[in-house]
Amino acid sequence: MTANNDVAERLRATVAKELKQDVSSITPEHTLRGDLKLNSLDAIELMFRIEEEFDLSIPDDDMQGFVKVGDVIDYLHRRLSGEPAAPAPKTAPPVAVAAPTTPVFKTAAAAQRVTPTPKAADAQSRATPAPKAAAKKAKPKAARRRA
Amino acid sequence: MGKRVVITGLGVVSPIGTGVAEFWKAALAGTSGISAVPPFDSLPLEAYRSRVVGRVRDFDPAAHLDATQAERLDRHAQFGLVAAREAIDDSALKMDREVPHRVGVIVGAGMGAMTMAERELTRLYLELKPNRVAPGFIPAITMNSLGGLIAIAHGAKGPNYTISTACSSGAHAIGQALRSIRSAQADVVIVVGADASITPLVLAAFGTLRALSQRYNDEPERASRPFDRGRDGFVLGEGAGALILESLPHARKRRAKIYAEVAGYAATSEAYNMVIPQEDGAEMAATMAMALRDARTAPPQVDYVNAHATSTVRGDEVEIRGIRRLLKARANKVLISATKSSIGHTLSAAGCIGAIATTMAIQSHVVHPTINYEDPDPECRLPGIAAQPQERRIKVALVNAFGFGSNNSSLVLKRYD
Repeated sequence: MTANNDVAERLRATVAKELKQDVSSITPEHTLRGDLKLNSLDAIELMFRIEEEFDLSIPDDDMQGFVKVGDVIDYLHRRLSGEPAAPAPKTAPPVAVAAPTTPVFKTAAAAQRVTPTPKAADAQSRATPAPKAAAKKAKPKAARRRA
Repeated sequence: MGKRVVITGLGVVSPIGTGVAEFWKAALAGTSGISAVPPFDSLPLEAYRSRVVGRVRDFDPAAHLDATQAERLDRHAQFGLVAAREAIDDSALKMDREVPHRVGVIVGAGMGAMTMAERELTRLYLELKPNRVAPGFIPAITMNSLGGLIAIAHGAKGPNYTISTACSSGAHAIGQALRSIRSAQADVVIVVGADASITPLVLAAFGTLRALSQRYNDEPERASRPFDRGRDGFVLGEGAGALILESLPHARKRRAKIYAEVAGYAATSEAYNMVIPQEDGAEMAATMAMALRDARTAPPQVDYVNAHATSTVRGDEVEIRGIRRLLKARANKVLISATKSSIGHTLSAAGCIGAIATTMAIQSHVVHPTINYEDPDPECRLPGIAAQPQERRIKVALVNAFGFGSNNSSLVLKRYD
């Protein structure tokens, strides 16, 4: 067994274990979102398992490129052969089919926008009222109460 | 007053069975679902004041849910999803024939995702890996988590909210569903009360609060004994109850089977004490009276009370005092039973499971027994309490649910004919 196959096998086994499926039902051609039905949270859990299994850390930007199981295998080959973590060159899908080829991390990345970046404004305003506005409202009330 | 509201579907996950048929059969047979607490890793069980629980023992999440839901969702959400699906199937509600925005979901959740909360907190401090905390933790720990899951599972796009009033959450959820339908906010509401908090921390904390039974640790099946002289606290249970409520015209239009009518509801606060009810039962009586008025009926019409009766010394006594105060002479005629005698206190599921037991009693003309009622406590003795099933054609029934935080709720269910 070549080193390449070994990585593919380990990855397939990790995915199978995480999804509680038989390893034979996981192929490099499977899309994570469409075929394996991973939602964004499942995908993050899967990345945890992969990071533990291969003892590396996968930056969020790199995850964006994962559409198929094969993309992850290719990525792991590159990383394990010493290539540093960097935005993975996107493998152009042969035919552009909207849903199944959507990177599974698209929504995950959106959900992760809890760090205060300008883009995060939407996600934040949904989660909690803007602290400034709340403080503004609360102030005069408190002042009145003291008076 | 708006449209009449009826119950057209039921679902349950309980310590005496998953599925209404199994639950009801066991309840009538006087089965106890109380067992010894399972081991909590290396925690010293002997240091727990109460070591008996109403655990759902035969529940295999993988048998009901897909693999990731079975693995990742909090146990209370799993119970809730399973009960909701049974109720929807039972009601023969076909979502593809409904206007999605007219089908709402109202959940009663008291403790929420306690199982997951304790597990993740413990793991974080033991493993010291903040970058490995379950990404699903936040959407699970928000109290409205189960409501969202049910809506997504069934495509219910109507009003979706969660009521959190501790042990009365489930009853309040039914009451609010009644009001949502009356006010034409929705035609159908999927109501679920769910709790799964038999965790190392929660069992310990209810114990130190002196709320739990501790005298029957070696005889778990005898521990939950409402109205009995030997009662010494409630038994922590878990489970879920689900009901499909819909407007009478909607149910008729789709020729749904109608179990009973939800005719009245009242919600009050005693504004008294966080964990103890007011001694004279006047507040409970007032709540029941308001629910009866809302149902346009009166104390002399009441046939059955599904009591809150958790098996605490004070609570059971005060509730009976409240019933006597309200029903006067009728108090000696009504049947009364405590569902918690069989399943323990399922917290926010309790109001829904009590309503299901009441619905089944209305349907089958028999009231389930209050098990372990062996030595009636003179303080809460009434002729309608029995350790055996009692036959009666019930037209009007009260369902009580009282909760920590000084809050009370009562529902009125009526036979539909």
